[in-house]
Amino acid sequence: MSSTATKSVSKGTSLRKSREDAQNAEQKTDSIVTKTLRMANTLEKYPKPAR
Amino acid sequence: MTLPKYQIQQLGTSDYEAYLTFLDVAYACRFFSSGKNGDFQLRVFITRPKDYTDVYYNLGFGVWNSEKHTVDDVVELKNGDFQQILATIASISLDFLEANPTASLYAEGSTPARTRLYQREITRHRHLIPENLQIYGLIRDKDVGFIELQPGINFDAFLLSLK
Repeated sequence: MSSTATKSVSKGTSLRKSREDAQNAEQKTDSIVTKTLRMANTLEKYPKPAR
Repeated sequence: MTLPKYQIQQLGTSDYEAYLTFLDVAYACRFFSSGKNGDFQLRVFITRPKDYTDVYYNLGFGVWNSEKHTVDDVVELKNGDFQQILATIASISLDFLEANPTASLYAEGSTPARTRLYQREITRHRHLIPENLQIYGLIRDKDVGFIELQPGINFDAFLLSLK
Protein backbone atom coordinates (compact mmCIF):
# COMPACT_ATOMS: atom_id res chain seq x y z
CA MET A 1 0.00 0.00 0.00
CA SER A 2 2.65 2.41 1.05
CA SER A 3 4.73 1.55 -1.99
CA THR A 4 1.69 2.30 -4.20
CA ALA A 5 1.31 5.66 -2.49
CA THR A 6 5.00 6.37 -2.98
CA LYS A 7 4.79 5.37 -6.60
CA SER A 8 1.76 7.59 -7.09
CA VAL A 9 3.48 10.61 -5.55
CA SER A 10 6.57 9.89 -7.57
CA LYS A 11 4.52 9.63 -10.76
CA GLY A 12 2.72 12.87 -9.93
CA THR A 13 6.01 14.62 -9.30
CA SER A 14 7.39 13.25 -12.53
CA LEU A 15 4.36 14.45 -14.47
CA ARG A 16 4.57 17.88 -12.88
CA LYS A 17 8.26 18.07 -13.73
CA SER A 18 7.52 17.04 -17.31
CA ARG A 19 4.91 19.78 -17.56
CA GLU A 20 7.33 22.32 -16.09
CA ASP A 21 10.08 21.17 -18.44
CA ALA A 22 7.69 21.46 -21.38
CA GLN A 23 6.63 24.92 -20.27
CA ASN A 24 10.25 25.96 -19.78
CA ALA A 25 11.10 24.67 -23.24
CA GLU A 26 8.21 26.68 -24.66
CA GLN A 27 9.29 29.79 -22.77
CA LYS A 28 12.85 29.37 -24.02
CA THR A 29 11.55 29.64 -27.56
CA ASP A 30 9.11 32.43 -26.72
CA SER A 31 9.89 35.54 -28.77
CA ILE A 32 10.33 37.71 -25.69
CA VAL A 33 12.99 35.40 -24.26
CA THR A 34 14.84 34.74 -27.51
CA LYS A 35 14.89 38.39 -28.55
CA THR A 36 16.09 39.55 -25.14
CA LEU A 37 18.99 37.12 -25.27
CA ARG A 38 19.70 38.18 -28.84
CA MET A 39 19.76 41.82 -27.73
CA ALA A 40 22.46 41.06 -25.14
CA ASN A 41 24.58 39.30 -27.76
CA THR A 42 24.12 42.13 -30.24
CA LEU A 43 25.08 44.85 -27.78
CA GLU A 44 28.11 42.90 -26.68
CA LYS A 45 29.28 42.86 -30.28
CA TYR A 46 28.09 46.36 -31.19
CA PRO A 47 28.21 48.66 -28.16
CA LYS A 48 26.14 51.83 -28.06
CA PRO A 49 28.12 54.79 -29.48
CA ALA A 50 29.56 57.16 -26.90
CA ARG A 51 27.69 60.45 -26.73
CA MET B 1 -0.98 66.33 -32.98
CA THR B 2 -0.94 62.89 -31.44
CA LEU B 3 -1.79 59.51 -32.93
CA PRO B 4 -4.62 57.41 -31.50
CA LYS B 5 -3.42 54.79 -29.02
CA TYR B 6 -4.92 51.82 -27.26
CA GLN B 7 -5.57 51.79 -23.56
CA ILE B 8 -3.05 49.62 -21.76
CA GLN B 9 -3.38 47.38 -18.71
CA GLN B 10 -0.33 46.60 -16.59
CA LEU B 11 0.45 42.93 -16.08
CA GLY B 12 1.27 41.47 -12.69
CA THR B 13 4.15 39.13 -11.88
CA SER B 14 1.81 36.13 -11.97
CA ASP B 15 1.10 36.89 -15.65
CA TYR B 16 4.72 36.29 -16.67
CA GLU B 17 6.12 34.11 -13.91
CA ALA B 18 7.63 31.67 -16.42
CA TYR B 19 9.80 34.42 -17.90
CA LEU B 20 11.44 35.09 -14.56
CA THR B 21 13.61 31.99 -14.94
CA PHE B 22 15.36 33.72 -17.82
CA LEU B 23 14.58 37.42 -17.66
CA ASP B 24 14.38 40.51 -15.53
CA VAL B 25 11.02 42.05 -16.48
CA ALA B 26 11.17 45.82 -16.05
CA TYR B 27 7.74 46.52 -17.52
CA ALA B 28 4.84 44.44 -18.81
CA CYS B 29 1.41 45.37 -20.08
CA ARG B 30 -1.30 44.29 -22.47
CA PHE B 31 -3.77 45.95 -24.75
CA PHE B 32 -6.35 44.83 -27.26
CA SER B 33 -6.08 45.38 -30.98
CA SER B 34 -9.54 45.91 -32.35
CA GLY B 35 -10.07 45.86 -36.09
CA LYS B 36 -11.51 44.24 -39.15
CA ASN B 37 -10.38 40.72 -38.16
CA GLY B 38 -11.56 40.94 -34.55
CA ASP B 39 -10.06 41.61 -31.14
CA PHE B 40 -6.59 40.34 -30.26
CA GLN B 41 -4.66 40.63 -27.05
CA LEU B 42 -1.16 42.01 -27.48
CA ARG B 43 1.46 41.94 -24.76
CA VAL B 44 4.41 44.28 -24.43
CA PHE B 45 7.52 43.46 -22.41
CA ILE B 46 10.58 45.50 -21.55
CA THR B 47 13.15 42.99 -20.42
CA ARG B 48 16.80 42.16 -20.03
CA PRO B 49 18.49 38.85 -19.34
CA LYS B 50 18.47 37.73 -15.75
CA ASP B 51 21.55 38.93 -13.83
CA TYR B 52 22.43 41.28 -16.73
CA THR B 53 23.94 44.45 -15.33
CA ASP B 54 23.96 46.74 -18.39
CA VAL B 55 21.26 49.37 -18.83
CA TYR B 56 20.06 47.93 -22.13
CA TYR B 57 16.53 46.59 -22.30
CA ASN B 58 14.73 44.78 -25.06
CA LEU B 59 11.40 46.07 -26.25
CA GLY B 60 9.31 43.11 -27.31
CA PHE B 61 5.68 42.72 -28.19
CA GLY B 62 3.35 40.40 -29.99
CA VAL B 63 0.05 38.61 -29.97
CA TRP B 64 -0.70 36.65 -26.82
CA ASN B 65 -1.23 32.93 -27.45
CA SER B 66 -3.48 31.96 -24.56
CA GLU B 67 -3.05 28.23 -25.23
CA LYS B 68 0.74 28.15 -25.24
CA HIS B 69 1.11 31.11 -22.88
CA THR B 70 3.64 32.68 -25.19
CA VAL B 71 3.96 35.88 -27.18
CA ASP B 72 3.87 35.36 -30.93
CA ASP B 73 5.70 38.14 -32.75
CA VAL B 74 5.53 36.49 -36.16
CA VAL B 75 1.79 36.24 -36.71
CA GLU B 76 0.33 38.96 -38.95
CA LEU B 77 -2.98 40.27 -37.64
CA LYS B 78 -3.84 42.39 -40.67
CA ASN B 79 -6.34 44.07 -38.41
CA GLY B 80 -6.01 47.43 -40.15
CA ASP B 81 -4.72 49.18 -37.03
CA PHE B 82 -0.94 48.78 -37.13
CA GLN B 83 -0.40 52.53 -36.79
CA GLN B 84 -2.45 52.58 -33.62
CA ILE B 85 -0.51 49.56 -32.34
CA LEU B 86 2.83 51.21 -33.10
CA ALA B 87 1.69 54.49 -31.54
CA THR B 88 0.81 52.56 -28.39
CA ILE B 89 4.22 50.86 -28.35
CA ALA B 90 5.98 54.19 -28.97
CA SER B 91 4.12 55.80 -26.09
CA ILE B 92 5.06 52.91 -23.77
CA SER B 93 8.71 53.25 -24.84
CA LEU B 94 8.82 56.98 -24.18
CA ASP B 95 7.16 56.60 -20.80
CA PHE B 96 9.69 53.91 -19.86
CA LEU B 97 12.67 56.04 -20.90
CA GLU B 98 11.35 59.06 -19.07
CA ALA B 99 10.97 56.94 -15.92
CA ASN B 100 14.40 55.34 -16.50
CA PRO B 101 16.51 58.08 -18.11
CA THR B 102 19.77 56.11 -18.05
CA ALA B 103 18.24 53.12 -19.83
CA SER B 104 18.46 52.31 -23.53
CA LEU B 105 15.75 50.40 -25.35
CA TYR B 106 16.63 47.94 -28.08
CA ALA B 107 14.04 47.09 -30.72
CA GLU B 108 14.31 44.67 -33.61
CA GLY B 109 11.53 43.43 -35.85
CA SER B 110 10.81 39.71 -36.05
CA THR B 111 11.64 39.90 -39.76
CA PRO B 112 13.67 42.38 -41.88
CA ALA B 113 10.37 43.53 -43.44
CA ARG B 114 8.97 44.40 -40.02
CA THR B 115 12.15 46.21 -39.03
CA ARG B 116 11.83 48.25 -42.23
CA LEU B 117 8.18 48.95 -41.42
CA TYR B 118 9.17 50.27 -37.98
CA GLN B 119 11.84 52.44 -39.60
CA ARG B 120 9.35 53.84 -42.11
CA GLU B 121 6.93 54.71 -39.31
CA ILE B 122 9.68 56.35 -37.22
CA THR B 123 10.74 58.43 -40.23
CA ARG B 124 7.16 59.30 -41.16
CA HIS B 125 6.36 60.52 -37.65
CA ARG B 126 9.72 62.07 -36.91
CA HIS B 127 8.01 65.40 -36.22
CA LEU B 128 6.14 63.77 -33.31
CA ILE B 129 9.27 62.35 -31.69
CA PRO B 130 10.54 64.37 -28.71
CA GLU B 131 13.77 66.26 -29.38
CA ASN B 132 15.46 64.67 -26.40
CA LEU B 133 15.04 61.17 -27.83
CA GLN B 134 18.18 59.76 -29.43
CA ILE B 135 17.65 56.97 -31.97
CA TYR B 136 20.49 54.87 -33.27
CA GLY B 137 20.17 52.29 -36.03
CA LEU B 138 22.21 49.11 -36.24
CA ILE B 139 24.01 48.04 -39.41
CA ARG B 140 25.29 44.49 -39.11
CA ASP B 141 26.74 44.48 -42.62
CA LYS B 142 30.53 44.91 -42.48
CA ASP B 143 30.17 45.22 -38.70
CA VAL B 144 29.35 48.93 -38.96
CA GLY B 145 27.45 48.87 -35.66
CA PHE B 146 25.13 51.61 -34.37
CA ILE B 147 24.97 54.97 -36.08
CA GLU B 148 22.50 57.84 -35.78
CA LEU B 149 19.26 57.06 -37.54
CA GLN B 150 19.08 58.55 -41.01
CA PRO B 151 16.76 58.10 -43.95
CA GLY B 152 17.80 56.03 -46.95
CA ILE B 153 19.59 53.33 -44.96
CA ASN B 154 18.03 50.01 -44.01
CA PHE B 155 18.81 49.30 -40.38
CA ASP B 156 18.75 45.92 -38.66
CA ALA B 157 17.63 47.16 -35.24
CA PHE B 158 17.18 50.35 -33.24
CA LEU B 159 18.43 51.67 -29.94
CA LEU B 160 16.50 54.41 -28.19
CA SER B 161 17.65 56.52 -25.28
CA LEU B 162 17.23 60.01 -23.90
CA LYS B 163 19.90 62.60 -24.75
